[in-house]
Amino acid sequence: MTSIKQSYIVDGNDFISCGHASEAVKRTLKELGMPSDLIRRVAIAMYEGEINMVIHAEGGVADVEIFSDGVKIYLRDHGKGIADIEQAMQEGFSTATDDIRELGFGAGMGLPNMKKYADEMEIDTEIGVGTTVYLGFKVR
Amino acid sequence: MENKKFVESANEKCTGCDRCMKRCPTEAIRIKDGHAYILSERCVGCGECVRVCPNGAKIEYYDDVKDIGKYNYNIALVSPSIFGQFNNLRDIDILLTAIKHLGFDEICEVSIGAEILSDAYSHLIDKLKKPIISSACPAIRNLIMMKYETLVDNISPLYQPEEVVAKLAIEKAKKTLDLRRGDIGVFLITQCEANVIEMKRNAADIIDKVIAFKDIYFSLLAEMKKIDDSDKERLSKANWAGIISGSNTGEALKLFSDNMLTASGIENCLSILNELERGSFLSNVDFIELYACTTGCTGGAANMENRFLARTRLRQLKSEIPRRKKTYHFSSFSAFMHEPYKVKNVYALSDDREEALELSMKMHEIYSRLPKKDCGNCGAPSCRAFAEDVVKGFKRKCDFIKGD
Ligand SMILES: Nc1ncnc2c1ncn2[C@@H]1O[C@H](COP(=O)(O)OP(=O)(O)OP(=O)(O)O)[C@@H](O)[C@H]1O
Ligand SMILES: [Mg+2]
Repeated sequence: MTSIKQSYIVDGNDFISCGHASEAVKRTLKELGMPSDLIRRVAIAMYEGEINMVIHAEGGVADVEIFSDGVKIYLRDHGKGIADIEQAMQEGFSTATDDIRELGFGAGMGLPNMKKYADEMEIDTEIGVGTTVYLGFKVR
Repeated sequence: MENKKFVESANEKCTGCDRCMKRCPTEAIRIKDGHAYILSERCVGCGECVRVCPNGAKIEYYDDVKDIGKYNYNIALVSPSIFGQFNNLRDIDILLTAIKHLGFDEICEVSIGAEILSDAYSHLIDKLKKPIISSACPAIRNLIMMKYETLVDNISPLYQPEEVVAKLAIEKAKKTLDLRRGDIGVFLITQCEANVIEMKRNAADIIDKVIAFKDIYFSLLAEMKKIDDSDKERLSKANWAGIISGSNTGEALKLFSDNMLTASGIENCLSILNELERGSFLSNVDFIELYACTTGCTGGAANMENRFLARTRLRQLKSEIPRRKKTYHFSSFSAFMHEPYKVKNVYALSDDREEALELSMKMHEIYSRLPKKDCGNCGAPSCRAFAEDVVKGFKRKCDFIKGD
């Protein structure tokens, strides 16, 4: 099956322009004429994943594969890892510092929203080694 | 999509400079054979290309002033931004009477629509998705539908003020004068092309003609000179809050005064929408009012006066406007609600997704070889748009790559 593969570096020091990768993916999905529901779900979930890589890890790489009927996204970082995935997935759980909260992040809604908007989600993480979040989306 | 042109470049005046192309917020403009061309489907009517053109080459299409008076019963809907267009206008009734003399049977102030919407927001505040993005500026609404799909649900479903007064005026004329809809001509006198685009596409059932303020300006000046106290009619019914909605000063909606964000100018609006889409500053803001034109509607491209001066003049009217009893009371506002707005994708490479996928791969391959300078020399606003055009079959040449 034909697919478009894209790879984006997510700069861990750049709060201000964070969101480039999801923005670019959104544009590609629009070029493809994907249903708006899918574009919205991908844009929101991927942005949350991107920002998590910046806030909680030191940035990473987003690998994206786009098919005519869906999207697969791998967000890979070499950050500190997640100690308890179940806890991290709970609404409102956050380890964000006060400074980060001051910037408007840290409500503990990122991972739950990713789960809500993606059709498939898997987290692979190891303390001190890094985290890979997989998000799968299907045209509904 | 409609083929109708709303804005066009006049070939004899257009020099093919790329100022308009670079300013267009939706990448709707290309330069070909030394002239600018506008992709109508992508035009939101923001007026940027009109304002930036040094040669006055942009033509915005409005309805013909000769249509005024052609219906059995002619209603004018008058936007408050035009109250700021005159030197020493102390009495709005003089202006409204002059407009009536152009051939109207009835004058309705769009300001009243703004007042009704203010009430509507008080009623509906808990039901609408926050932050609410005001529906007042149709250019902004269209921009969101084209470029910001995650924000489409935040657009207020309420009518824009023009539509509210149009609907009420038609109902009133039908009831009190026993007229049929076909007898009634509803004319919107406005400052911007965005209203033309919006009314033609989505409100043609309640607004028949859209007239540019600039097209009646000189007739109005002449008419206003003739009016003295004896033939001046008492036409203005609006309160200050409705009238000041003609410019974006943030005063119009009392309800949200503490937690509302207001901005104008397309660049400013884009930066706010970008931030909103990223989820920033959502928590403290309930209401967002964005106007494509700097200073709001006073800055509309079909107005005559300098926008900042027009805003000042509008403000100066405040002391002249008496506090008036509201003429309308509604307990339900469902009659003034649109169907929820939908995303409008004008960037798809093909209607067939498999084909679009092939084209997109080709496009990214081409893009990867481009200099990414977005210089515009090729006639496309960005390297990305260049690649898009090439896969869509348009001939383009990039100065920076050999061959091709
Ligand atoms: N890539 C990651 N690396 C390390 N820890 C992570 C990563 N992503 C999430 N976490 C951990 O999971 C917690 C919950 O993440 P979630 O995205 O739900 O909330 P948040 O990022 O803290 O706040 P919000 O997303 O609402 O701004 C984070 O506080 C953090 O401890
Ligand atoms: Mg998060």
